[in-house]
Amino acid sequence: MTPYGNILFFIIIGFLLLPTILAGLRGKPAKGYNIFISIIVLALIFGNSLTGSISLILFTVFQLFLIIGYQTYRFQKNNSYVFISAVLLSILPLVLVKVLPLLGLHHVFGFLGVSYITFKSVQMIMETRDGLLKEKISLIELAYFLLFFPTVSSGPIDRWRRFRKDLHTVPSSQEYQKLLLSGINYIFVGFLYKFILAYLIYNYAVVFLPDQTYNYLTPFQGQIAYMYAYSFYLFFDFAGYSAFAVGVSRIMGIQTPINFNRPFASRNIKDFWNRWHMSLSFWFRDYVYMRFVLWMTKKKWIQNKYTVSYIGFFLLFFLMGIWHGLEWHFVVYGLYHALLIVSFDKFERWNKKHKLWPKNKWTQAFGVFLTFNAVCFGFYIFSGILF
Amino acid sequence: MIKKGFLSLFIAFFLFALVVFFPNSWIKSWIPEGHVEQAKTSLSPLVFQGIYLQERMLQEPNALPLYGSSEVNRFDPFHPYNYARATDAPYSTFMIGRGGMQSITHFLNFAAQEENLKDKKIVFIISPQWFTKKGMPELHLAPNYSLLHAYDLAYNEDLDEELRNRGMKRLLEFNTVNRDHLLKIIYEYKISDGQERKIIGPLAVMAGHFKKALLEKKDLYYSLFPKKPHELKSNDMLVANQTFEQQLQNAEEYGKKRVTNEFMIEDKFYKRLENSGISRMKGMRKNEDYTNSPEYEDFQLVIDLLKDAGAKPLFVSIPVNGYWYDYNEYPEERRQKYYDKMNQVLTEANVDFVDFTAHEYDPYFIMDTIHIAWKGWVYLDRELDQYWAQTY
Repeated sequence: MTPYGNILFFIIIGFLLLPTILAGLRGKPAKGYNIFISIIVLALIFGNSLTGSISLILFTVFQLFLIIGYQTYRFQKNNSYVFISAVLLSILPLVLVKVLPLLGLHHVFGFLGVSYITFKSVQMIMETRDGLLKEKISLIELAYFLLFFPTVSSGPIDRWRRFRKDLHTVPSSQEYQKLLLSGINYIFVGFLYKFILAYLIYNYAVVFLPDQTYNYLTPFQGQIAYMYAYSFYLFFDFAGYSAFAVGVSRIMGIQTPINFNRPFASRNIKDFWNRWHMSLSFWFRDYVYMRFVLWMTKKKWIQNKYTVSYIGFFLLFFLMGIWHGLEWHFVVYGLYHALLIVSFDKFERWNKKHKLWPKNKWTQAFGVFLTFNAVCFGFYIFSGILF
Repeated sequence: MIKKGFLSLFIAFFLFALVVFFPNSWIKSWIPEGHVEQAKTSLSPLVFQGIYLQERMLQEPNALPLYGSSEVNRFDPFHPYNYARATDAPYSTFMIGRGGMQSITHFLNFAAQEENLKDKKIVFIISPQWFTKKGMPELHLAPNYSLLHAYDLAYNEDLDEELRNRGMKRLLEFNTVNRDHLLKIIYEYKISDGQERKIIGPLAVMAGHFKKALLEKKDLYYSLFPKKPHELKSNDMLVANQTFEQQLQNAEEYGKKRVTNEFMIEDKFYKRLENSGISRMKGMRKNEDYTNSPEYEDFQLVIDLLKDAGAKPLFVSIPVNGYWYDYNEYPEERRQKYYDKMNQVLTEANVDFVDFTAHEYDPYFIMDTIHIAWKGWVYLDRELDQYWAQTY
């Protein structure tokens, strides 16, 4: 069963969450029960495929051993090679999932959500290395974090320290009422986005585009219309899904971070990446870009800090691109955004010196317009329709 | 603030439950005759994909429905609907069809109306362009496929079982249908007569009942709010009290005013073609062949179903625009092969039909690239008059 795919899924989790809600409203903890229903819902999500279920279990056990094992090691020693090996081992299954199909080995290994669990796992190994995870980690809590069912298939990507804090806080009845209400609100926003807006855009626009318009549009107009329709479809579909994940998390007492914050109102491309698929872009910022920049600064291989930063951006967006799949259009999509960010950064620095581009509501409106169109063109590449 | 939030939530749930559990008979009593009349010319996909309004229309004793694709919305003074009204014909038509509706969608619709089709005279217009190599494209099925009809099919006991299974098997070849896990399980369970999906099958059949009931209710709610009727463009003077020859003459003049290009395509539509680049379409049908297509099997489903239901259909085989297809480089001989094949299929099926395919170069018979109108309608109107008068 696809999470949040149909009304039946919502009815089932609605019933399963009733005891959670009742406990919450009385200010009582429901951690044990929530872990229990997670197992049921995971079985529903993955139960239709035997290979999928076995892959998921083996994969999770592997990641658990890796994280706990590395933490145990880190309490005593701190060798860089062990750290790098741990990170590589952690992403190895994900790499295999992406590469094996290219070698003609479909369906050998691979399941819903493999990348999102990997993101969480890599994050923990890196924070362990930094010495941020000093307390001993409970195996069950860790498994619950990795497999937290509201976000298991497509995020948002939570952070362990934040998650753990929520897990150990029992909200008062008053606080829980607020959580519950905002959770239900998110779920209904999700309904509006995914099942009404995305559905309508898809069925009344995207399916006829770019070239099935019964000649109402020229081929060029068809492509342009496709670009915008697809962009809006992508947003409402994914933002709707993310709203469900955030909403259900809140009902379970976990304040999973939001993924979208009005991205089409971004004033520039940097702003956009702070508003679009935020949990993913923050993950790449913290664990790819920042690491790279710090590492380069430490090693002093490249002197110019801007060059380091730009290489970092290209690395970030290249990886983010191929993470979507090993296809040319995803690579180009990543590089396109890297180019936008670098160009914008150069422009910003240039403007600081020359002050030719004033800051007022007109330039801001122009910025929103320009960013919106640049971003839509990015999604046009992303859709794979070009090549 | 919190209390208010929860209060609005409860109200929302209450209203939702009210809408879902509202008795069907009450909703039906609120759907007046006027809505049914409006549905005849509204050409709304909600009517095509529904059951209730079509049922009401079919139950009118003088109803002569026209099934087809987008030609049925080519309203002009000669359109069968306008013609029947202007000439006080003993029948009145309503239209079921729009772009992308092909044999399989009509099959589903007929299946849902099986009990209302007994001894009914109906007209079914067959479009050549349905019979492409791949047949019904997913892209055309998705917007024209009715969930209600698809669920209804699984539970339709009036239908011949072999025919029903054949229909369900065909539908399972489409992604649109396969994506619906519940329906897929029900179909597989029913096709195998309970041999496949032994455990989950019966559960799915039960859940399917609820889904079907919900879809039926949705259909009733839609019927409460009908779409506006189509603009009819009627002009009674051109058909009432005119002989067949005069009507042909009128249609020819009517068309002449609207066509000024070598392809004999209505100017408005021609503009659209120009807009998207005429030269692009030169030779675009070089490799098309309408004699080999899965659509033939879908069409056989339609024939078999109408026989099973005891309907008295009149099939209409229409040509394409010869001038335009020449430009597309779909040669005349190859087109003739399709016309012959369709004639043969209909003859072998032993059904009533009219064959208009000799008119492919007849000016103003076809108004654009594939749709009959104007003179085409005049010819069809005469057939309808005769067909209605015919007794069995």
